[in-house]
Parts: sequence; C-alpha cells; structure tokens
Amino acid sequence: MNSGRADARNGDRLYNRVAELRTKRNLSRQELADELNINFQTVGYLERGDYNPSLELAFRISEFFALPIEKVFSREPFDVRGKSGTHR
Amino acid sequence: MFQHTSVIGISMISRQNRRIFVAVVYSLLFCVTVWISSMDPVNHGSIIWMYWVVILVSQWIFGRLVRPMFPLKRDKPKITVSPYTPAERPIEDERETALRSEAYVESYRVILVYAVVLLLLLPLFIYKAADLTSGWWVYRTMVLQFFVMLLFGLVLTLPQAIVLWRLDDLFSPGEVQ
Repeated sequence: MNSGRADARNGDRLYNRVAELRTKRNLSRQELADELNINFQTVGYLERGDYNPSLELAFRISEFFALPIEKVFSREPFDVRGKSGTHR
Repeated sequence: MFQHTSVIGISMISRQNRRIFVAVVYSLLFCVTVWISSMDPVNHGSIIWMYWVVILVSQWIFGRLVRPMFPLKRDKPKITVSPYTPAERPIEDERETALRSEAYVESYRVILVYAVVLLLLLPLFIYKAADLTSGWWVYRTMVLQFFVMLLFGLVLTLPQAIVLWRLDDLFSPGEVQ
C-alpha cells in the first residue's frame, strides 16, 4: 500500500508551486483548504513537499489556480526547469 | 483529523509533545495492567473495572485529539448511479484517510504478531507441572492476565497512538506566508 505520504517520504518527490501561488493570491492555508475541500494541514504538507497529492487533488489545485497542471506540479524542481518558486 | 490540539492546556502541535503524551498514557496503562495482574485473583472482580476505566479514559483522551479509529460512517465517496449527481465528498481529506489507513495496517501487524506469540506461549500457561506451588507456576496466571489485558488495551488505542506518534508538527491555519 503506497500513499502519497509514503511516496513523498521515499523520495518520489513531486515539486509544486502551491505555496508561491497561495501567497501571490494572499490566501491563508485555511482559506485555500476551504476552497479545495481539504484540511489546512494537508495544504501545509503539500507546500513542504511531505505529501504527494492524488491526481484528482492535483487537478483540483491547478483548476483552482487556473493553470495547467504542469505549471503547478513537476517531477523536477521549478528553478531547474527555468521557473521560479521551488518550495521546501 | 485533529479535533483539538491541546490536552489539559498542553499544546499537542509539536510531535515531541505528542510523543511524550503517548509515552505517558502507555506507561500508565502498563502500570495499571501490572498492578491489576499482581492482585490476588479473588479481588479481580472488583479491581478489573479500573483497567477498563483506564483504557476508556485513554481512548477518550486520544479521541479528543484524533477522531476515533472505528468510524461508524463510510469514509469513501459513495458511488453514484446518475452521471448528473456529484459523488459525495469523503468525510476526511485524502491525506488523512491515507494516514488512518497506514495506522490501521501498522497496528494490525503489531497486534497480529503479539496475538500469535501469545498463542504460541499459551501451552506454557496451561501446562500442568508436577509442582504447582513453586517458581514460575505461582505467577503464570498473573502473567497470562497481564498479556491478555495488554492485548485489549492495544486493540483499543494503538491506531490513534500511531497517528499521534507519527504525524509531523502541525501547521497553523491562518498564516499567509
């Protein structure tokens, strides 16, 4: 059984720009969590890279920010890809 | 998942505090189990309820932090027949559901090993030796009671304890940065 938490712990890291996009929109973790219908703790774990979301949640997040999914999530750090906002 | 983030005024946001809390609760549970097991069997009828009180109090304290681990409602979304009816959202979000599932699996493994070892050791407890008045045989009932009572305690509290032990430091909801 492999959960997103276990994947993130085992080094199958998925990078994301959730923290950057959230702060740009001046949203708190609780506000973003309410919009996405998840717990604000999950937002924190996502931002810290300790949790890899399911495909369904990843799509919900990218739809909320009105961006293509590859602009929000990546297998490589975003600065390596020539984009700003790699988050720990 | 977390219903409250403090117990008797002590913050449980940090993992270290939660680990100390779990260790204290289990130490108390262990001490009470030893105490009851060492009682004269004649008094067990009046004493054993105290063990149940301790288990239920532990369960209640853990339950104030982490929602009880035997849900009465389904956590999964219901399958809908009509394509126009949106699926019901899960009660918990996916990370919490995964965390709870992991805790269930891990506690099942621990309890299974414990139960199998206890079962394998059972002949030691029921074997009738020639001299029942000396050495190990005097204490075997107490030891058996101790292990069985501890098994009940683990079954009722371990999944919540695993969640409390494992979960990293919690985040605050309000901050933007």
